[in-house]
Amino acid sequence: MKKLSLIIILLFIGQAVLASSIDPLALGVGARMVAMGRTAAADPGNINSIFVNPANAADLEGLGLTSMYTNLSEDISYTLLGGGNKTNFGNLGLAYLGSTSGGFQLTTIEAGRVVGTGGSFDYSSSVICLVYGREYKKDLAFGASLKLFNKGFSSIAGGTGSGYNMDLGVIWKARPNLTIGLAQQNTLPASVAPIKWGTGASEGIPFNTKLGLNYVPREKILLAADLNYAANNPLNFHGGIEWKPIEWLAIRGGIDQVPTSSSQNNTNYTTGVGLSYKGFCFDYAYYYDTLLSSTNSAHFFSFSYQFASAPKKALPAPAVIQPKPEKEIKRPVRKTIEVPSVKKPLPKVKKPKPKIKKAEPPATKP
Amino acid sequence: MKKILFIQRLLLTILLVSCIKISSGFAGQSTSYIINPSAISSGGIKSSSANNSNLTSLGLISFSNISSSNYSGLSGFLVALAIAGDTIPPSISGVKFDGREVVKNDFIKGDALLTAVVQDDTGISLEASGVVIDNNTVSFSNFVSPASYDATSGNMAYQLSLTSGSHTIQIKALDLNNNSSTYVQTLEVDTGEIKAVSAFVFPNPYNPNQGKAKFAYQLNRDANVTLYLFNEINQLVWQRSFPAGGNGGQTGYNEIEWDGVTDFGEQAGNGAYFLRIVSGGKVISKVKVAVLK
Repeated sequence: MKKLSLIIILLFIGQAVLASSIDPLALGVGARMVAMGRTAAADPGNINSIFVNPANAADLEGLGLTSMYTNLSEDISYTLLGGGNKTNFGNLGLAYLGSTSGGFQLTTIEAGRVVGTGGSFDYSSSVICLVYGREYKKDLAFGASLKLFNKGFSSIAGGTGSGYNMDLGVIWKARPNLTIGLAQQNTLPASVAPIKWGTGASEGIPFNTKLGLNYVPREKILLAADLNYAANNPLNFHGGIEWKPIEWLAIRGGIDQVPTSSSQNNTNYTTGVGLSYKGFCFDYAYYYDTLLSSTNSAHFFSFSYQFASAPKKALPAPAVIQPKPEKEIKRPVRKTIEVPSVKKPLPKVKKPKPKIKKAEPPATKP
Repeated sequence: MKKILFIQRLLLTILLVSCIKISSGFAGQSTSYIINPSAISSGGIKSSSANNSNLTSLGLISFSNISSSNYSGLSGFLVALAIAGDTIPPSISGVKFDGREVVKNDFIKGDALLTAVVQDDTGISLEASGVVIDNNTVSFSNFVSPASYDATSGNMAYQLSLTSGSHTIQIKALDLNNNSSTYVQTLEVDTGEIKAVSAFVFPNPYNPNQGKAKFAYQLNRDANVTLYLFNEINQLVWQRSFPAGGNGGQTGYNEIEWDGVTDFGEQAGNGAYFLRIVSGGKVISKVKVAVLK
């Protein structure tokens, strides 16, 4: 009970922090997650989802490898490489998500006008995420991840910064077809784990609480939903569906709410497909941004390998036991075994000698 | 002795006649000049303060006027001498299009109102001064309302009527002594599809702790414009809308300030941001903004 209390305290300690740097992992990990409205808080065993809720790692059944690429608005490109595996002392995952963007123009003022000097510089950002997840009980799992951030502008004095933070998560398999997940991302406040810049500035990564569920209403269909809460942001919803008409094909769709101010969300739409063969998966997602569809809509590509069960394999619906009509019980037909004609000598069986009690002589009468 | 006296008188007569001839010669010039009689002093010609409103009564005085009225004789001669000593060209200042200063290749509206202050201490030649649009000259003397030139203040106004394309616009001014000044600017008129060019942010990188950032861009025409600022994972952090014709949505140079505070009420964190300049639902320009505190 004390451990649970400590976890809860850690989960919410970050809420008092006003921080402003960006966690690149909020972009989404894997095209499958993006295609399903960026839902991943309750997705146990998926190699991508372990970097969203580390408790998902507890269900890794073996080696998993993943990758993702996207280019947002032709301004900034992201590359993800990650992997995870089952071990005897809990399951581990490691991911790298990096982004680069060039062409930041240096400017000056001439004749009262802002003009370019002709010079430019670049920006890069990366996060390395180390995940640990373990089952606590049969239906309960916990996880934690350590994230190392690096950001920087090239050729700018003091223009690099680095820091760390951590995520905590829990997964509860409430029913065979229902999983609930809770993740507290960037739990540590800025005072504990700041990103320190070369200029001397320090800032934190904003915490984010994700509450999610996965529900399998029927075979081949998966429903997922996440609720996100962060300081100064309105509560926002993410929902997704995955349909597997055939074993190797998954068709996905979702909605993704993104806060646009402290009181408003913008709802975007996602879709995608997944192709899988013997553990190898290719996933594609299209993110349709309703605010600026022409530039902000984006394509995501993932290639992954996952040992054992396919990610988010649709669980069968709970079996309903119905009384079967009585059938004629077929008794097994007895077969006649022919005895070989050659008589073999039977093994000698020692017959126990019967104990013969000697009869006492009858009493003689005098 | 009588001979000597006769010769002296003869020479004096010749001298006087010569003076009169000189004066008459100036008066014979056909070009009209703007000049303010009250500006004439022993020290030269000062700035004009004549109260004239049209070309026929602008205080235009030819040298014939000078010699025949208030400034006849020696006064007129002194005026002529003062003008003859003027080597300072007319000043052309405060040139604006629709009330805004421009630089080379700025966008302007085709019907922009060109205004300027054209002045000279000795006066401006109305015939030889004027506006030149792509080598087509319209002199001040031929200005027709709403075009105007006020000799008193030097204020000039001229309504342009330009088609789409690049135009060279000049203001030429010539004073009494043939000193000239010219203002030349090459400007663009583009009534086509809305676009924004020369989009920048200053400074870059921007430190919110050291004042405001300036988002600057040129619009080819008036349009409703919205600025969106996204963070590095394409999440909107700030937006503002500007109506057509006002700062942010007007033809030519626009400059919008940002105090570094997002619409979430927080100061923007260090990192990359992407400004989108949007009109009619279309992104017409983008700027990469670096925030570094």
